[in-house]
Amino acid sequence: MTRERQLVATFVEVADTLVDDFDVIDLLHTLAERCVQLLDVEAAGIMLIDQRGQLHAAAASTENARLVELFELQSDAGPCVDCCRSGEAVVNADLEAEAERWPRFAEAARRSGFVAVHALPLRLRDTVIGALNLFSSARRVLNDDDARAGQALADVATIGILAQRGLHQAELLAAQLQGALTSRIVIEQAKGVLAERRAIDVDEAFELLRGYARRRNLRLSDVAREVAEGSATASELLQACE
Amino acid sequence: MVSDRMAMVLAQLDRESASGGSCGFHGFPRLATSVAADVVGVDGLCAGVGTASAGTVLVWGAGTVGAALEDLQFGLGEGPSREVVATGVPLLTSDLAGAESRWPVFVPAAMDLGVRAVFVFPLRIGAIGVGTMLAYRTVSGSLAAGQTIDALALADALTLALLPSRWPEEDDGDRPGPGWARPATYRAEVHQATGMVSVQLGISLADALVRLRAYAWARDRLLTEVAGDVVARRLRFDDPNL
Repeated sequence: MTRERQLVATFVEVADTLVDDFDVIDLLHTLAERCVQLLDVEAAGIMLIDQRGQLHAAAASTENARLVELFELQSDAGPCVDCCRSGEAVVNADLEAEAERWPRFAEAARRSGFVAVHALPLRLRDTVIGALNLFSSARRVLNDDDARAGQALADVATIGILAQRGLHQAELLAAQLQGALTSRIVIEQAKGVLAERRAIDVDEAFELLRGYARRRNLRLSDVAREVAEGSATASELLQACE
Repeated sequence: MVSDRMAMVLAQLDRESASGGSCGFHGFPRLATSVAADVVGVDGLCAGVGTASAGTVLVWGAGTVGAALEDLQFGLGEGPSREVVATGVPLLTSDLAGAESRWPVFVPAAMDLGVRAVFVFPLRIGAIGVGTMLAYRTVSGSLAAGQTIDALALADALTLALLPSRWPEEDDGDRPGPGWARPATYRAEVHQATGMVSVQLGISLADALVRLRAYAWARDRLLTEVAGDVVARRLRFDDPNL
């Protein structure tokens, strides 16, 4: 399939999701995965700004603790912070050349094998609500077409956040962002519960949760909430997800 | 970003939680609710603990009108606070008169009290539901974006400050210290560790988070560091030598 066709397929997939009763974190996770496939990057993550102006990782192409740490390292300085402040995309930032601009982040990213980083704004009119963060491990330049495709995926992420369930009454963006961040926290808590119960690491726990939700056609956040709250169905679920 | 005035309110909440020795409700009445209400731009504010059908117990800022609004919702079995408990996302009703079809009994009763707008925020950390914060106005109108941001930050601080109320009396002496106003809690590993500790000790997520905070505070360590040790399995809370 050409990339154009893959892009169309992705937008059709997302459009189908949006008309259903979808799970926002699951959607963001899917978008991050598609970014890796379509933009030829190694890793992708979606960062959201909370009401204090702090950035939080809402989803990543792989739920890898080291990768999530890279996203969160940017709370003080990094391409996502710059992108959110200016509202402008950061494209093809070389991690060696930018070592002074983001010392801690650039070093950690290079240690993880990345050579370049990009950040595209999640924008709603004049407000920036987060950023799509892309990492490359090869010296391949993100060209204008790539950046446009990436921005379109970032815009879809924004639409998904605005269209969350239960938010029809909340006219304010801050409330919508909080809904997405709360879903993310529930998933983290559930990952911890599952990791401890089954003696696995938290990354594997995420895959178990998501796989279970997908197979049963359940919302990821609902499954996560059941596991986190230790409800009766949760123990059944813990047995069932082999 | 949170306004300077709200930052001062949160700092005061911090100090009072710390000086109170115990971090239950006791430090709360001293924080001037009226100052917080003024910053958020509302006529009254209150917070209630409890998410079960038994209703909420007012623990902060119980003015006559706020208390009456909570009582009404409990008595009638309908109203915005009950919905926020269920959905976990803020419910901002800027014109109560327009919401009569939604809450046919509550709305006229609330309007009899002179209330024209009601804004309810969840006190929640992922799957840990603590209660709700209610703000009202005697004239209709939306919260400004900055006011919503301040209200969300206040709700976050109240959530953390109210967690230890669920803490049993026969604790081991470790107490969570101040730091409610700091957003450090929102790191992924803290939520993962909360889930893990809850399984290790067979306690609720709320109690697990309190234990984590208390452990870090007593040893003068960062919560994120302690959480990182738990997730990496260098630290177990069911270790008899702890």
